[in-house]
Amino acid sequence: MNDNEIVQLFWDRNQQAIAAASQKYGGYCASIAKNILKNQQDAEECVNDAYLNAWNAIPPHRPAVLSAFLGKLTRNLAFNTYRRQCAEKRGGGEIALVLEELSDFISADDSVEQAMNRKTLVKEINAFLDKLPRAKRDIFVCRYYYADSVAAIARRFGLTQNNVSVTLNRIRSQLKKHLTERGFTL
Amino acid sequence: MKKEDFFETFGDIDPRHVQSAHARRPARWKAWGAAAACFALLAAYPLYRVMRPNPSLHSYRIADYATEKNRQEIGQWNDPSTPTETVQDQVAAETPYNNLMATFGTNEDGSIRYPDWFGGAYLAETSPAQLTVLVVETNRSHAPSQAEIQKMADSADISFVAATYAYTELEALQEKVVAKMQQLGVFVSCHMNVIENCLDLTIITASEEALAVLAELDPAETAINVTAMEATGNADYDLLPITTELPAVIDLPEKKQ
Repeated sequence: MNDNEIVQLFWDRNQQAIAAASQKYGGYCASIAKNILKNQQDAEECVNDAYLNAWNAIPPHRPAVLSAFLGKLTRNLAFNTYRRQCAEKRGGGEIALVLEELSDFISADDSVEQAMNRKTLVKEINAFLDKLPRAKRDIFVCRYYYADSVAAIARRFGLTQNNVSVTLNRIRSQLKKHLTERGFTL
Repeated sequence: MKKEDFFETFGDIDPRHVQSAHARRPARWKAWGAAAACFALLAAYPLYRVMRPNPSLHSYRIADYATEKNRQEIGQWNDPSTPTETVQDQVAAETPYNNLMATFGTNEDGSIRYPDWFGGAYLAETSPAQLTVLVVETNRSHAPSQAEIQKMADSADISFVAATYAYTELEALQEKVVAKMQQLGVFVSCHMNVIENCLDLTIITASEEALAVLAELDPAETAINVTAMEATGNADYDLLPITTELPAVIDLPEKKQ
């Protein structure tokens, strides 16, 4: 079943919509949730919440690319759960390492003066990603969108783990320079 | 800004980039919860096709002719003030390359007989320029050691990078891609991108037919970077907006009669 047909099931309020979405993208959403949340049960609940959110959001949304829509819902829900668990002093998955890497170039300063327009920031991040060679961009997105482990990325791209770490470090530095030059204070 | 806020913001990046990275990810997913029973029914179906958003169509991007990056690259090639030292460095770095090629031998038609462990070689943008050799990971077991390759090239100043595809593999794929795209009447160019260990293909229009053929030839979407010169006009397929500026029109002087 293609994405349009599944989205139409949502629009028709057909209860087969969630089954169809989970058949096609259940594993995809599960991998995103599992990367962020250590616990299988937490990840499973997150994926089910993503389907419920999709049911509530479609209509009025009519996503052209269902994987991107469900993936983003799952990522946001998983990360919210992770933040709540951190507050409760419970452990997370690979995400803890990912955030540790991001702390290299993001200050912990959360003052009002540091507030920035999120939309503008996303626009500049996209402009930066557009300029990267495809392989490097894919590595960066696999790490900081999907929170894939360095080992998994290394296997997938035919690189050593050291190579991946070095590549990520360089791109983080380049991104920091790109954003700083455009007036963002990180 | 906190690192958690940045991670969250990163979730709003362009879906094209998310899809491109997703195409690289393996489809070894486990079934979860209520979907487990349904998923088991699909166990015989190639899992990677289930996970891809458009399993039958290859991803592509639309050419952006007027980006600042393109202007800078064009300016670099046309810059007459390119230092001669850079050219001399490159000539010096070509010697190890030529030495390495000489050890491969030739086919009956005189072309170089590249071994299956060889993914390609290029001069890195260092000064002096350094030869970088790509070694295919899956064929590493019968590849010569790095020391042996350095001996073949008669140079210790070589760096090594892991590659997915052998050079011969990409050459064979290039032949098929060119033939198919010419058949469909959309072919513009197809170059070997040694640095990224893939082919750079440019086609006129990213028609469904062309993308379906490319998806069959490159199901993992790692061997071919596809660029279309124009959009199809279908919002579902055109992942990139066209941001081209037409090149400036030059008024040629009228010929004197």
